[in-house]
Amino acid sequence: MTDLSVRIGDVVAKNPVMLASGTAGYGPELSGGLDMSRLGGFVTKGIAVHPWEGNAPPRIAETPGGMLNAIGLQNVGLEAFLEDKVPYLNRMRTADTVVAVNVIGKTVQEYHDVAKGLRGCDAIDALELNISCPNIKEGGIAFGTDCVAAAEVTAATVEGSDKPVWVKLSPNVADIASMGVAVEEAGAAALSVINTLLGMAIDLEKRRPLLSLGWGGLSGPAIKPVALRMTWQVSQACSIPVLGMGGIRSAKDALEFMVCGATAVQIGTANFANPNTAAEVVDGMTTWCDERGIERISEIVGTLNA
Amino acid sequence: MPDSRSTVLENRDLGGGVWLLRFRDPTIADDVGPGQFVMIACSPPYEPLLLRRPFSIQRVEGDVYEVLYRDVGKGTHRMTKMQVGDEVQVLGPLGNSFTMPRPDETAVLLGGGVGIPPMVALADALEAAGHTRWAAYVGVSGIVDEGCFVGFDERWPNDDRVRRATMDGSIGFEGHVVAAWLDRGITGPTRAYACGPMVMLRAVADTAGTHDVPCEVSVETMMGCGVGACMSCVIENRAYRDGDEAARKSMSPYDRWLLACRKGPVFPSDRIVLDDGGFLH
Repeated sequence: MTDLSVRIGDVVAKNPVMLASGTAGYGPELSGGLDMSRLGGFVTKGIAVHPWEGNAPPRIAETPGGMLNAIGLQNVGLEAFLEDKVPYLNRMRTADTVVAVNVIGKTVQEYHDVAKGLRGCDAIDALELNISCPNIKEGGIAFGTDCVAAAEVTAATVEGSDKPVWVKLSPNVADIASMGVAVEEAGAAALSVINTLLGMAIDLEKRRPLLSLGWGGLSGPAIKPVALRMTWQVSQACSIPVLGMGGIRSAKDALEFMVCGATAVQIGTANFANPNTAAEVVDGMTTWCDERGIERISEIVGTLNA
Repeated sequence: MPDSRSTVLENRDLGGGVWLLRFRDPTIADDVGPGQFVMIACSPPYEPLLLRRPFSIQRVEGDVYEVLYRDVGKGTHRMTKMQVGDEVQVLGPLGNSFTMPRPDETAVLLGGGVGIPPMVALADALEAAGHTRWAAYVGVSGIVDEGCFVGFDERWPNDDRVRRATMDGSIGFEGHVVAAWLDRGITGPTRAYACGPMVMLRAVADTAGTHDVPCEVSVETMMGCGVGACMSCVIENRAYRDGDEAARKSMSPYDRWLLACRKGPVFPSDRIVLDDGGFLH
């Protein structure tokens, strides 16, 4: 039987399959349709230092091969998170599932404050920074679209935290590899590649957007080729581990990301269509490796012939 | 809340784009409350990803349950192609249920179009609980979509407690369901329940408010997952919108938008803002 365990810096996961932030709440939400103990890891919905209300509906729209969302990072805030959500995360850790908390903020200071507030919290293995949030001090331009701002917010979070900091890169940039290099130099322990691609869908007859915000983040199988390309580029340019994500819904998809350089993968939108996707991916990976006599799944990481 | 495979027993075209879908599935039919819903996968998993669609459960009998749906878009159109014997991935039952009335209260059930099914479920639950003091006012636009009455037609074909209304007067009372309700009058302790288009829910809530009748509504919103993970299906908290500065400050901004799948789909009508900005219907 293949050893599915992987190492993301100092964090060891029993298998490379995780749930992506914003697609599985804080854990209990998906537990009716998925045995959470099967997961190698789990990334929570983004947490800010204070609660955020999120956007007005409609917040989602289905598009060919995917969906757009503009939830607006509605979240309970750090205090309620520690009080209400951490007990469940503790249970997941007991089941040997890696737990990462996705961190959001509107200023560098806010990211730092969340990181500081989570110090000493044993339920958590790592932080994952969502740097696609608008930087209100810079006119709302996302931290993740500027190398300097991305490095600054990474360094400030690393400085505030006692945990490894993973950084989730935005694909809405000209050169994602240089973003990866910038946050690696700022102290990131791993890179999550990729966040959603900005997109738009409209109602032709009403001539208005389908999302209240006008546009939103595209996810699902439609973005897989983009995500695969970026996973490959970032893993070539950086020396820290890459977590690959974007449109994964089968073991084959997940394995493709690993061959392109991802040490582990995250499953997101597919959870909505089938909450059991992650468990099916783990099973499919095992079968695939067994059939090929692969002893450790980590052997296949970055083995693309290109 | 298991994810289960339900077998199609019947997929009946009721005309006017309205369909009745009956499934056999003991896992889901086991414990359903009136007002709960299921998330139905409209396409086989090997096709490009398509989000599931939420439908209120209309009736449960043994290990069989049924939903009513209207062919309005890509997902529901695919559902019309489901064949007897097909196995369909269904997640449920999800969400909360209506609060049962006090024994002295008359339960008034108001349903519009494909919002009628949860009223059928509630009438069934009331009967099962021995609460025979209920009246239903159900409305459609006319002959064209009278198929929406199927739940009441099959269960209570000739029952004075069920009043049918059509906007064009082709069947039963001419006018909307609130007019039909007021036409019979509100007497004694009453509790109202409603499901239908937002404009109808607003009219029901206004009428209930005017007559001091406690009222619960089941809302339809755009849902991604049905279990609280995607946070798409929100409806606005009235206390947050209408509250003064002090009231607002005492609340978490997180509670401005309530998840219809977890906190609902049934809400006290005065708790939420009954407005979808015209995005649905």
